[in-house]
Order: sequence, then structure tokens, then C-alpha cells
Amino acid sequence: MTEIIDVERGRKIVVEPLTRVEGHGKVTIHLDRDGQVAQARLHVVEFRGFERFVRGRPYWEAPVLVQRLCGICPVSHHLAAAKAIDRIVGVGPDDLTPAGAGMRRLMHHGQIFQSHALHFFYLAAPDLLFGVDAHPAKRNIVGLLAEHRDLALRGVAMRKLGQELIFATAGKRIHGISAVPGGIHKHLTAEERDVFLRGEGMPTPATAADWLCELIDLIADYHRANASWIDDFAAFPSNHLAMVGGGGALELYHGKLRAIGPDGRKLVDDFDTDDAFDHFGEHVEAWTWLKFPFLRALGVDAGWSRVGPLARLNVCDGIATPRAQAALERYRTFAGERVVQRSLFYHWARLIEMLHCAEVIDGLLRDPALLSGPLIASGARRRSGIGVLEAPRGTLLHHYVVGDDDLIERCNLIVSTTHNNEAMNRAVTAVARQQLAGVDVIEESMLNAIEVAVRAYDPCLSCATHAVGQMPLEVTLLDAAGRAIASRVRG
Amino acid sequence: MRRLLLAVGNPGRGDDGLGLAFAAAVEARIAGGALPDVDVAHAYQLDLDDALRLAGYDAVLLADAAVDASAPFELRQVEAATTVPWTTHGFGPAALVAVAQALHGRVPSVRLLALRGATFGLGAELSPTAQEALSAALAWLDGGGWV
Repeated sequence: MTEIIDVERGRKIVVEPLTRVEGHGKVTIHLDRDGQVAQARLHVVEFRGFERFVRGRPYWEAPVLVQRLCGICPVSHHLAAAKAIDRIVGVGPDDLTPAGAGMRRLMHHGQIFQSHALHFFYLAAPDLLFGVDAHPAKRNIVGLLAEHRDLALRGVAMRKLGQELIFATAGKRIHGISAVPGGIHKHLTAEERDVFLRGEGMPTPATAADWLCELIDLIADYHRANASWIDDFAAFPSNHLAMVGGGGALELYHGKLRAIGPDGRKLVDDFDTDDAFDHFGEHVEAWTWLKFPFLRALGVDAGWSRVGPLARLNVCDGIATPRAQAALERYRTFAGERVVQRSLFYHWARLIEMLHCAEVIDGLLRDPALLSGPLIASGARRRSGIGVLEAPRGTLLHHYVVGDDDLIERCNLIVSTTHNNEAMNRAVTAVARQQLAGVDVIEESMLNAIEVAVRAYDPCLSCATHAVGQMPLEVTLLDAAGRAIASRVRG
Repeated sequence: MRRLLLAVGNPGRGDDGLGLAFAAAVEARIAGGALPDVDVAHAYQLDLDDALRLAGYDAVLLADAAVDASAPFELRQVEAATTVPWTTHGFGPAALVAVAQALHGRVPSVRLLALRGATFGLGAELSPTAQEALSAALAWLDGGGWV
């Protein structure tokens, strides 16, 4: 079946169902009557349907089922669902046992640490160090190992640290099962703890923190040397959304939600995560499966926000761990603006978050509360539960309504990628304007630039789950009448 | 001489647990004093940082279920891949060897013990085909096949 979609000014785009397969990104670039880029659209053509899949299932299955949303950040979905189901069994965030709370935090920070390591070392670093137009055969982790051996080795070793933390806390490195309604089903053993503190087969968290401080020095130098490219690449004003903890500090597991405008002012008062779904609406467009969340108080057009590392560092008042706080101060001084709007700063922000995670992990591993004591709390059963946390790529919201028969009646998920939907479209638009200035030919360099822009935000799109330089993309250029005048396909 | 058995699979998916079942049998032999030079590791699925595990070994045996192997099992020499995906969705033995080569320079001999599986249902037991593969592979091991 061919679907015809009306767009403004009577133009039409024909979307072939063949493109609705996982693994291909589709971009259309719309020119105005003067031949300038009016808008670019990133079409996400996969459909997951998890909100329907979990209906009718017992509520305690949700934390296990929803992990299948993602092979990179299953732990984030596992824990967001567990937080929501905690509320169903009458357990609030402050009611968790010390062992339960500590183990979940350790799992969560291990997850963000490994995901950021993958994102930076396996994806971003080859782009940054070899250039976005370097040959794909070189622009990958193996190329990095050949030419920047120490950096790559550290990246692989730090990913292993994160993965092993997940294994120790969740039982498996991918699709773990340990968070249960009201808590967790295992302690950390002293033997497991000592493996991390001795750094057996991987860096200790303290060593990782040292490495990250050195790496942050390197990326600061990189930004200094490549300022004109970074400053001009996919930079645009936006709101920013993230969780904050006490004193407005960076918080990844539980706190209040804060949204700020491009000038840094709060758009609404910080709000409890239990109220989160009152604050967000979700707009849909016919040309993509990915929804567009927005703050109801501001409406669809003005209420969208960026999320993820860049947004979290823009939103927070500081970081509670000392080395990450020092890195944040330096980052802000360098950026020269309180609200950083340049997309490529995501990577620097990601490294600062890794440093913060290493510090938090070190502290949690030394906390005896994780080794013993009650694991599960209980309370009075409720019908509805909301769980929110900061996943590696941004704010993640889960909401479940459960019937008296213990079966899930309704589920709504707002995942990190959807918050960044508008931002990714704007990033692709900015890249298209830069690349197409005065020409109407789609070069390979444009595909590379689009890939780099999307990856600043997310490696998880169906179109991004491929090796660097091999992201399957289809880019089509449409004139003001909606006629395709150029197209280039890769993959 | 130090050897590593790296078993891969999901025991919750029927015959996909074949590699882990083989590893459990090897661990039982090690506990009984056999195979003193063998270490055993497990992976739900291969990932890029598993390449770190290969350092220091002279020989590595990857044990995994396979739907395309001749029954009851096949032994395959694993050569380094020329392209390496970063995603766990497509990271296989050849990619593992390529990354290990880049990481360590020297790579041990890596062979894949491809155990023929037939059914991969959720929560299923090992099928008769898988049981046959497991028995045959253990007989091969006990007969000194992995040297």
C-alpha cells in the first residue's frame, strides 16, 4: 500500500511501505520557492507497539517485558518500569530499603556509564578524531585501536566496567531481571564488590575517573582546535528538560523535573515525577512514528525540549561529586553561555556525566548497605504508578494503570528519543542548510553530516543502529512544489 | 598452555542454552580435577568488550548453538572479520577475533563449537536434537578432541 500524506502548501510526499523496516533512516528536505532549505524531516519508520503489548499482562511482569524495547539501554526501561510498579505496590522512592535503593542506583549508574562509553568511544570518537568524511573502514573502533590505541583501550575497558556492574546488580549484562516491585532481589556480595574495587580485568571506578579527567582535557583541546566547526554545526536555541536533585544538582535516578528556556529561566516550577504526565502532551505527525512530546503549559510549538547530557548540564545548578563539578565549571566557562545550544557539546557533556557516574559508583561500592539487610519494601496497593528517571539519552517516563485483577489496563511511555525528536529534526535541518548552500546535489558528505548530527543525540534510532559510516540513509530533496529533484541512498 | 571456553547463549530460549549446558558440563569436569588448564566464561550474547577476555590464552573455544551446523556439531576455525559492527545485534565470533586482534596484537587460535539446535521457544527444554549435539560434543571433549 502506498500512503499519501498532505503537507503544507499542497505538496505531497509519497512514502513507500517498503521503507517501514527497521534499519533505514529516511530524510526529506523541503526547499522553499527561492531554493533555500525550508525544513528537513527525519522520518522514524519503525513501530514498536510496546504500550499495547503489555496490556493484559500482570503488573509484576512490566519491568522484565519493557526491557525488550532496547538492547542498549534495557536497564533504563527495567528501572523506570520498576519505579512505576513500586507505586502500584504502595512503595514510594523514599520507602525503598537501603539495600534496594543502593543496588538500583548502582545498576543505573553502571548502565549510564557503559552506554555513554559505547556512545562516545565506539561512535563519536571515530567521527571526531578521523573527521566525518573519513572512510567508514577507518572510522570505527578498530580504526581507533590502530591509531589511538590508548584511548580506545580505555574506552573498551570502561565499557566493560559498566557492563560488569550491570551483571553484578541485574544478573545479566543485557536484559537483567533483578528489580522487582518494591525493591531488588539480590545484594551485592563482598566478593563482587572487591572485584570492582581491585579492578580485576577492568579499571577501578577511581582509575576510570582519572582517565576521564584526562579525556576531558583532550576534548577541551579538541573543542579549542575545532571551534568554528563545532560552533556552526547543528546549533539552535531550544528549551531543555532534565531531572534535578536536592539543591538543583544533577540527578539521574530520582528527583524533580525542571524545564528551562533558551535564556536559562524556568518555564514552569520544578514538578514531582508523580505529576509528570499532567505536564506533557504528545503531538503526532503523519510522516513519522515518533511522537513529539511538549510541555502543555507552552503548547506544541513552544513546548518542546532537548533532553540528555547537554540538557542535564544546562538544567542543573551543579553536580554533587567534586571532580565532575570541577569539570562542569570548566565546561561552562569554555562554552561561554549558561545554556549551551551547540549539538556537538553533547559529547563533552557525556564525558562529564561518565566522570560523575564513576564517582557515584565508587561511593556506592563502599556503602555497606548494599551488602545486607532487607531487599523489598511493601505498602498499600494502588491502581496507578508513574516511574521517571534520566536514561543515558534523556528523561524517560513510564505510566501504568492496573486493574483489581492485577493486570495492566493501560501503559504510556515517553522515551528519551521522542523528547529529542524536534531537536533532531532541527539538527538535520541545520546540517541541510549548511551543506546545500547554493547547490541542489546531495553529496556523501551530507549523509555523513546527518549521521553525525543524529548521533550527537542518539545511537538508538533504527537508522542509527549500524556501524559508523554505514548508517542506512535515504535523503530526498523536494522542491517548493513537492517534486523530488535529487535523492541519494546508502545502505 | 592456557585455554578458554567462552560459552554463549540464553538458557531461557530452548536450544539457545546449548553453549551454556556444554560449559556447565565442562565446569563439572574441572571441579572433578580434569582440564586443569581450562577457564570457563559465559556470555548471554557476544559483545565488543568480550574481546578483552581473550588476552593471555593460547586457544579459545566458543560454544554456541547453531541452526546452520551439521548435526550433531561442527568445529569451525574463526577468522577475523573485515568489518566490525558496534551493536550487540550483530556482533559475532569473527568480529570478536577482529577486535581482539586490534586490542592485543596477537590472537589465540579461536574455534567455534557450533552445536546443532532445533527449537528456541521461550522456557523450552533442550530438544532431542540439542541433547544429541551436547552428548556428542562432550564425547569429543572427553576423547581429547580439544587440544
